[in-house]
Amino acid sequence: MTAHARRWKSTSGETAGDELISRPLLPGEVKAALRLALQSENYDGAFLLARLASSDRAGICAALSDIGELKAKVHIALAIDLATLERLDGSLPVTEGVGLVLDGVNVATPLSAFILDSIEALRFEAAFTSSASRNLRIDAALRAMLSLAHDLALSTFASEAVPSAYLLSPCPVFDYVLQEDAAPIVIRGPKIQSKVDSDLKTSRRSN
Amino acid sequence: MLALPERPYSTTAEREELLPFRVRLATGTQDVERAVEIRASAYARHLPHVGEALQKAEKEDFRPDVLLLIAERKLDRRPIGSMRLEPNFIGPLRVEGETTLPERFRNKRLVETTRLGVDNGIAGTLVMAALVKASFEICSACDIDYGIAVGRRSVGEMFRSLCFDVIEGPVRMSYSLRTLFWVFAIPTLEWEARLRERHHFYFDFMARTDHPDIDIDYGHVFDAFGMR
Repeated sequence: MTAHARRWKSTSGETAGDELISRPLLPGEVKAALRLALQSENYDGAFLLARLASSDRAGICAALSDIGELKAKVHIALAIDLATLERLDGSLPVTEGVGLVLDGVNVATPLSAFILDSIEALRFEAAFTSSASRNLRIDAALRAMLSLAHDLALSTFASEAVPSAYLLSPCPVFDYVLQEDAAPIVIRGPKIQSKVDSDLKTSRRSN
Repeated sequence: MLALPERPYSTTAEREELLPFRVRLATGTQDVERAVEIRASAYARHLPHVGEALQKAEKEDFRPDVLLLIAERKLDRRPIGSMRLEPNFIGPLRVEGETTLPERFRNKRLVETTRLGVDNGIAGTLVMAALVKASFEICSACDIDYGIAVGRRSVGEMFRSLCFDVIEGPVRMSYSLRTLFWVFAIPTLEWEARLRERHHFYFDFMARTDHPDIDIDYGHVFDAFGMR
């Protein structure tokens, strides 16, 4: 079995993390999807991000509990949409090594969503960051959101690298941006790896 | 062996709040390096010459009686804040090498907060509040009479707003002759009441909210501060 991931690189250049490339996962699917990546020996990211389908409090609690059972050594970040966040209604059970990322942040996202203590990061919508490079008012909104995120110590992800021809200098700075030019990372499960190894050995013997 | 300290507040916590980062004590060389990194970049923004000098760990960072607090993001463990707590149990405070403290501080248990540095440097940040809360709780657990701090004008405004008393200033410090500093003190036992009387938002954050992510190893604290 293999899975694919894309790499998010820290703009400070210190760390990187990966995101599983998949359709939004249902809460019941998260554990199996993450297990493959976590068992892979070639995994070296600081965190692993997975996108959840729209859900509710029970779904998120179930996903957190399932992930907790994995006892992952890397931090797991679950990206959820605003509708899911609004359904959480209060604090979630503390699960060591797991956090929530508010996904799809755009100009219409209420700032009140940022101050909920359930989330640890924000991922900005690509169309939003792109239009901020061309429109002063949207740029102002983005900068205000980033300032609030920094005050609250929330990590920030930009779905696309900020265009080089940005309207105002300095450009808004996000904590993590996609490595646009990088090919997707192929994550192989341990069983497949050993099969590949054994195939290689067989091939060497026959040569 | 001492048990974990009780909550040092007169009011019970009304809620628990998660933070996107964890505050803990630095342990080991790698942690010290991480604290130094954030401290140097924080100082470089306002006092470039001091920031440059702080790019290496100081001898105080390795003193067994000194505690180094570090705030690191949960997501990637990146350090985003640090603070050093230096007691006067073994020798005089750092500030006492620069000035003489008033008589009321003689023979008292003092802790000087030094090298406070936060990623984006805004006094209102959650990181700053969490570091301040951790330091207060440590001081309370160790029966510290006064917390002492030294700050330039802008940082001084923060200490004033946190109900610290100005005990001296402006003064010039040997390590930064071009900048004026003020010396501040807060009686540990009065801090909560002062915050409450001023309806300070730190009162709610500190006294009425539990933060499991402020995760202090009190065994380490008591060892360092000679409490067992």
